[in-house]
Amino acid sequence: MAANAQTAARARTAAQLDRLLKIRTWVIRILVYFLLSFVAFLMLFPFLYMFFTSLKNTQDVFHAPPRLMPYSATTMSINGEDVMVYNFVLEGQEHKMVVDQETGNVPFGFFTTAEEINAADPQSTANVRQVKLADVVDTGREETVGGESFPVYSVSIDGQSQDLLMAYRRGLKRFVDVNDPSVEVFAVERTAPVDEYVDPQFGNYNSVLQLKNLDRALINTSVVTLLVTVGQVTTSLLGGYAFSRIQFRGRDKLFLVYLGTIMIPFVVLIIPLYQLMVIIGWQGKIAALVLPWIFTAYGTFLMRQFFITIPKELEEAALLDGLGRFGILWRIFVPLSGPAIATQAIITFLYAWNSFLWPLVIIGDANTVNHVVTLSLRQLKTAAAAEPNLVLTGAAVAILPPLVLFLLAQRYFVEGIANTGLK
Amino acid sequence: MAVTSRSMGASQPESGKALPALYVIMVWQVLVGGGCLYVASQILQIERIFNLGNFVQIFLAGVFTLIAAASFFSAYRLYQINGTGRLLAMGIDFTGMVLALLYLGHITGLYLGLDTLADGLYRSLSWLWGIALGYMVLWLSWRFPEGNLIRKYGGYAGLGVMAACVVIILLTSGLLLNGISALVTNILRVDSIIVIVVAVIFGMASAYLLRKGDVFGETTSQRDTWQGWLFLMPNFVSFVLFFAGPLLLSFYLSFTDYNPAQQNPAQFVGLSNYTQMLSLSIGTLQNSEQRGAEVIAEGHAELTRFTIGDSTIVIGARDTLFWYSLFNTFNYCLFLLVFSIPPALGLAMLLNSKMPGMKFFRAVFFIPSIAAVVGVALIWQWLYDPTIGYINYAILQVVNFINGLFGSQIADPAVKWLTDERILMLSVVIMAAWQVIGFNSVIFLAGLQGVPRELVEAATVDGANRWTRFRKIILPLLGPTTFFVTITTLIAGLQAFAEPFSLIGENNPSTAKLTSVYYLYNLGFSNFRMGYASAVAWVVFIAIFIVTILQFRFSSSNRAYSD
Repeated sequence: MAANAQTAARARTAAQLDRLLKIRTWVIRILVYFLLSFVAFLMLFPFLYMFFTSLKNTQDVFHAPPRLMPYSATTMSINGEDVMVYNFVLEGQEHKMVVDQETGNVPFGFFTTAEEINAADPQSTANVRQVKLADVVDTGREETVGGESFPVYSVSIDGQSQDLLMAYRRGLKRFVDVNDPSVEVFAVERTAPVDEYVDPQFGNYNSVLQLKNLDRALINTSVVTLLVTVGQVTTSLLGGYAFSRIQFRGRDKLFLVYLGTIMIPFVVLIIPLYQLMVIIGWQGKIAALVLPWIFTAYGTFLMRQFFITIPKELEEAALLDGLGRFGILWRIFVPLSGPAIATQAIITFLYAWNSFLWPLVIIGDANTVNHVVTLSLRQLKTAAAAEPNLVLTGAAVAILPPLVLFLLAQRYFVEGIANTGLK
Repeated sequence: MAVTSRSMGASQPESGKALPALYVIMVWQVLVGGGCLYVASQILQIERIFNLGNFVQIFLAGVFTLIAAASFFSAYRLYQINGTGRLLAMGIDFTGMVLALLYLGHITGLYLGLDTLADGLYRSLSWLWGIALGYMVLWLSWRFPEGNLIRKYGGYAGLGVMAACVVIILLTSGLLLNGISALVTNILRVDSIIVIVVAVIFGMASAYLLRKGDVFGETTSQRDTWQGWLFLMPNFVSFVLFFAGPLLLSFYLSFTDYNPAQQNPAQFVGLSNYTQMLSLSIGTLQNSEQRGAEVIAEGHAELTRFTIGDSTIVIGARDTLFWYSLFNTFNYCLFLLVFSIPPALGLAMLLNSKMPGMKFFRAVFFIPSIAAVVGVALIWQWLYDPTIGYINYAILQVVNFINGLFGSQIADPAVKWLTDERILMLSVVIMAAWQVIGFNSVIFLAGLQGVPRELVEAATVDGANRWTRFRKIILPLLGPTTFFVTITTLIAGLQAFAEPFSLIGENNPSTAKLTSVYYLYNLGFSNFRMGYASAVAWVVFIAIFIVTILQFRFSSSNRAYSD
């Protein structure tokens, strides 16, 4: 009996432990998801900000504190004139109001007690009563607080007359309810709560394309990117095949040289390459963005690394069938290396689309017709400095094509790059 | 291409029976040699060649003389019916043909036609949408299985739409007509015709030699050699023209005072660029009134000073901007590593947990790294804005929260991210790290997935806790991955240019934004001191080289578990 009870107790504690472990796993899971979501938010937020700002109008961008949604101020036509609509909350009720232009500025005094007044900066006194100057009586007296003297007025509050200090005075606009003209509010026009509605400005995309040749730049960048990608993949396929499969004289030494060049940064080449382009006459020409880039030691290396994993037997069988070297490459190697080609094409695409230093140097400001997207963005930044909404629309236009490609070919991006990184 | 699989090396050299056409080719090789010698002599006689200096002239003449010698030698070996001679002659003739055709493209304006192409595409923008539409139709119809009618006719329709749009673009934009007429007029010029004739002779010579493999008793190794070089040709030609050649030129220019804005050609100045750049002078101040410039060597400006005990030591440099930029680059790299690698490893550990949705997060983290730095900098410029930017807004919210929680009186920091000299490089680094973290974590994740599960489980059984498992097993096993990530991040960091250039801006005169490459850019393309800028480029390269070697050493001694 005792042994039985012991087993039962042990089973019970085991069940409890199991439940505890389960809870622990779930807590960890939730924590992991929370952390990952937070990081994902940080990663995506700049893009969200870009997208939402690209839909804003020029006034809304400068709204402080910042907000995401694109707003426009409501306007309404009164006597054939467009006027702003304001949104006041009076006694818990919202009122749509407009400025009564006929009344103009109404002088108001802001009154407070000698105890409450902020003598150093009267305008920031915390507790003031706003009363029309026409409704108060000047007592003619003055009171000095903290070295400053303030006039004393007799102000009627809730039917009782009180002597208060005037902290400051200001002309206020009269706002009237558009539905009920008897409801009125006096307020400063500049800081009055503007009535706004969500209003995405999709037209920004159209107008930014015309600014600074961005549409032409998109075509140029597409042409350059396409040609560079096709060129690099082609030379890498041919070179990779030669290095992996043909025992030609000088192969191993040349391969070492190629490997060494991977380490050489582009900055070493930029000045002589620039001079070379000037000599050939390609300065400011699209040819300068394409032809120097169709060689890639890195791509050749990657292709070679992929090709040496393809079994030799496949090739020998094809050789016996009378297939030439080109036939083998085209019919056997290329179909087998789809993922490798896709990875290289993607890396090249990104590199060509996003490249900046070389276009800046070789196209520069000399030939704006041949600008690529990154150069147009640089120009847009200065040309539209007062319109960040347009600048960010331009950024969105430049970032969208790689983003779309990424969403379509996500697998090749992430897995391809992860694999190349480890080889 | 007549790539054959004939039985190899079967026939013996038929030395006595020389072919008449072979003599023509020998003559041609001699002619080519003579031509190269003539070109070499002409190069030496030109007063100056693109202001690059005598050395380039001598080098080019030397290259042509070498080719001439090779050509003469090949003619001699051809006479002996020697296989190597045939390979050499084939190589010279084939390369000659390729270069002649490339040159033909140059003088007929083929390459500049890319501008016309882009222009034509731009003017027929609406028809490009037609091509896209046709492709959509094609793509959709190919979703259907083989033999389906939609696949067949939809495919035809898509291809038809695409082809029609291409034809319309070619016709309406004038690309076809203008292009052909320009090409024809350019080809009918005398120089073009000469180049074509030369190319044809080169081509015929190499084709003839190619077919005479059995006459020369071609061995497998010889056939592999010409086939290998044939495959490598496009790669190798652009490697020589756009990589190796410029690399040598860069090295040479770093020893000259080359400045294309000046009329006189580049002068060889030896190591003076490097000494100017690296020269430092150290002095000790005698008293506090003394100016720094008094204790350092002439021509040096004060770089920095520090106090040890009673004495103040002043360091001066001839090129202070270089040292500033070097220091900034160093800082940039250091912070980039700190901000991007440990968080990336952490993220990769989280992503490595076997829970649903990890692929989604992995993709999201990767997105920043695919965007252009220039575009990203535009976004961050406004995020960093001191008054309307989200970053200061977020900081203010946190400060208010803390103040509300603890009743403290922390003031709103209102950081001026892009104008405060002390932190603007930090702003750049934060942006760069944001861009690279996802990329690095994807690589770390691939490394983590290569860590054998049994090892980790065995350690768990042995009672190792999470931290110990991470430190003793996972981290050492990740050695090669960490090495790769560190190296790629570091190399990118050492070359940082677009980040400070786009984010801080060209209008900010502060030297705090200067990275080495930014400095190089200013030197080379604002001041046109290209000789000096080349020297800076080589120093950047040497830095990258040293970093790579050091890291390699470090990681190979640290790879106990992995190999």
